[in-house]
Amino acid sequence: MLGRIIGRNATEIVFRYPYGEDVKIGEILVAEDEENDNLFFLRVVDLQYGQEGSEKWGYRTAGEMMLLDEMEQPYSMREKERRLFKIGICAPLGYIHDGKFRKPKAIPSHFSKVRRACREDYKFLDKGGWDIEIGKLRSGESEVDVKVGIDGNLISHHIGIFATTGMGKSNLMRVFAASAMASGRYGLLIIDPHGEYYEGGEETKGLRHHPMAGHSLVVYSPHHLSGPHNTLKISAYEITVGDLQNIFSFTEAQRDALYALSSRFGKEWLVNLHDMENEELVDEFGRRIQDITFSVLKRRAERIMRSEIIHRDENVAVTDSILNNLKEGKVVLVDTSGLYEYEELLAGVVLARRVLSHNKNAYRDKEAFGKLPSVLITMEEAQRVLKADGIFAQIAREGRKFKVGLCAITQQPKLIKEELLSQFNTFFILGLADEGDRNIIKSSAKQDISKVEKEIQTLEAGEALITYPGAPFAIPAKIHWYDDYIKNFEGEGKEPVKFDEAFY
Amino acid sequence: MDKKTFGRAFDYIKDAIEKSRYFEGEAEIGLEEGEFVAHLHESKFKKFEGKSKAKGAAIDGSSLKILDGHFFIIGSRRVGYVIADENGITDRRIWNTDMEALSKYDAKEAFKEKYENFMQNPPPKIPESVEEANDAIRGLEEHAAAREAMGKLGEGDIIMMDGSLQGSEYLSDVIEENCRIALEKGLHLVGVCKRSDLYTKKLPVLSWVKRRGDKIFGKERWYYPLSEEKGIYIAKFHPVSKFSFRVDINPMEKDVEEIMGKIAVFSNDVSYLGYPYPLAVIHREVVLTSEDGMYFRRVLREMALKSGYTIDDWEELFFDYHEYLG
Repeated sequence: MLGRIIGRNATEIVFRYPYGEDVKIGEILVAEDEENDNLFFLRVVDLQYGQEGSEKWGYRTAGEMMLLDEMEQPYSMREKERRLFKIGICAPLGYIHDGKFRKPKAIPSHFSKVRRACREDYKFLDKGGWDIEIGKLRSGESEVDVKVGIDGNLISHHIGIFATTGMGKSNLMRVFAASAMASGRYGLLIIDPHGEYYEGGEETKGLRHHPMAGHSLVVYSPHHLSGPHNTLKISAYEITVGDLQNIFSFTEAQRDALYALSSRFGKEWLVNLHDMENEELVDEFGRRIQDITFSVLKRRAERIMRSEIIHRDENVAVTDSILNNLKEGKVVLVDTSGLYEYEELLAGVVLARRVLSHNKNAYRDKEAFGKLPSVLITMEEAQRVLKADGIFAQIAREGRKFKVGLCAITQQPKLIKEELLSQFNTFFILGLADEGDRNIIKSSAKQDISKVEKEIQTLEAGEALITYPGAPFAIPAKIHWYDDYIKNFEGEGKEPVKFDEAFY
Repeated sequence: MDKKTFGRAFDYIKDAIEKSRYFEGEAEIGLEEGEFVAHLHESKFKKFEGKSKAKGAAIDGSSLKILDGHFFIIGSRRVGYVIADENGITDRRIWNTDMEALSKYDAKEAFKEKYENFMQNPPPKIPESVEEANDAIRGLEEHAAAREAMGKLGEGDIIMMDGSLQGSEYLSDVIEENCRIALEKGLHLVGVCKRSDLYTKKLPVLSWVKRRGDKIFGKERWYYPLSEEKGIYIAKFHPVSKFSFRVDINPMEKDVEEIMGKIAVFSNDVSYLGYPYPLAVIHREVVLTSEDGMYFRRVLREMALKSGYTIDDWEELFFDYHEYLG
């Protein structure tokens, strides 16, 4: 036994525990309400000092200690365990009655025993029905031997991964990808602007080291990689005016000109804008558009056409094969490292639009659509594309209907439009130093995490809180270490799940 | 208000301050049971060193009037002791809280019976009121607890009673007997008073002596023999203690400095600097608080109601119902 409940209310339970015990913020404890046969789950949200006797005694004793320290006089304090104690402040998570987990609508009996939860207590979590394994349950700093993850069906309801640098975002994504590969039931598109997922780092392995990478991972990159990969090429003919608006700002006149170009030249608009002389373009549009407007647009077009990932040949494009890979439930890694930001964004925008557009079309045939795997598109520094409207905002709003989810990875969730953030059902919170970021997460999470602010502040690298609809509470997790986790798949030459190709 | 209004009060204060400047000559010291004359002189202050090791027992008790039925009371008592050494508490025994109805007619008999059971002799004096009887029984139980604790101690160990060894006219024989047994076993029986009513005509003795002792020795341990004949001392057990205490020592003891040194071993706990920590511990263990009293009252009343009596019956008996409501 760790302690006994003292009291307070349905949203905050206080217990006393011994002076010598070390309880950590975030620990999950249980209160045994023997009188009502309930087992309450409590999350430690704050810790306080306690002492028998008045507050004055504490002041006086500290003063005596300081005096004796100054005089270098020895002293002792006997009966510490009886005089001193600690107080744990807990948020009630819920309780188990008759084997069923219930929301915390009752409080434990007075002076109920409080103890640390053991594996047996977490049986109800095994019924969670998740299939994307992420890590193990965490209680404070300790790992509990209970695996945790999310239900893959939630990926189309969007995922947010929020963490400051060094808290383990990349490891989490690698683990997520590893589980997705093992599952083979979901398409996962990872746009990797930092080149950290393929090879890994100096001390970590990459996705290519996953034992199932041979048939579950497909890699696209504009530059040479050490292992099997495809060259990333996007045809200039598949870039739309809308795509460009996702990455550049345009004046109203420029926008009008872009739509005029698109209307006049169709899918050749970008190539023609690039190839035609300014004067030619002005004449083409009956001099209704000024040459200065075309000058600006042409400079943008030149930047795009100069990009090593853009090809003038309509038939040289990998987007179709990426779509097919995703339909096959594969993990598709698009390594955009070394590219300019606008190139990386352009690749992401074109691919995201194609995926959404494809699934929207497929939606018309319900039966075939039913066989389509959910696809998750991950976007690093997602605040760049979720500040305003665009394809990613569109996916956030309507993607779930078409089985297209967005995984927004960001250090600054406060920069994401609040209305868009509210569309994200699953949060992985890995430690956020900024109060503004924590506040926006608190107000958007699908579980009440208002009491766990201190825990979020004190999360260590690799520790997370996971919230999603249907979770009994915000689940504290220790994310698997990728290098160790993939050892579980050694020797598993699993064939990918087959989908109804006839449909496509 | 004018000078005349404050005049007499200020004159008293002035006189007390003036008196406190002189620490010499005869002073009449008041005790509960009477006065005695102390011969004061600064040369009698003695500095002493604390020992490094000691073993001892601390005994304390608590009594509480739970209900007052005017011609009877429901009283409760709890006593206990701890055995300690320089490192901490090694043993403890706390008796269950005892509850007893003591009426005007049987309180004396109750005390007498308990006394005779313990001493095999009649008491020198019997308390008149029921409250006094309850307190005297508690005192008796404390000395019985001390007797038991003696069995767990060896030669040179110390027995610390909470309170004076002088005050109780009902228990003087018991104290004397315990002092005798302790002496036979080579144990040192002392009484340490948290508060002391020692007074002179104008001054509280403890603070007067403390100020003088600190003036002479500064940050040192010292004691002052107020009456070697009665075994009454004032002592400061820790060099930087803000407090000094009245300590009663068996007048038959030869080496007072040795005893003071041993008490000092227990007086370096920073929670109660200068006061023997086993006494503080046992006090906390046995004390009956007003909350305890409220709880006992409620339980008794519930028992009455569950037995079919009405609240009117109850209030008739304890008509000052504010007490149990409070």
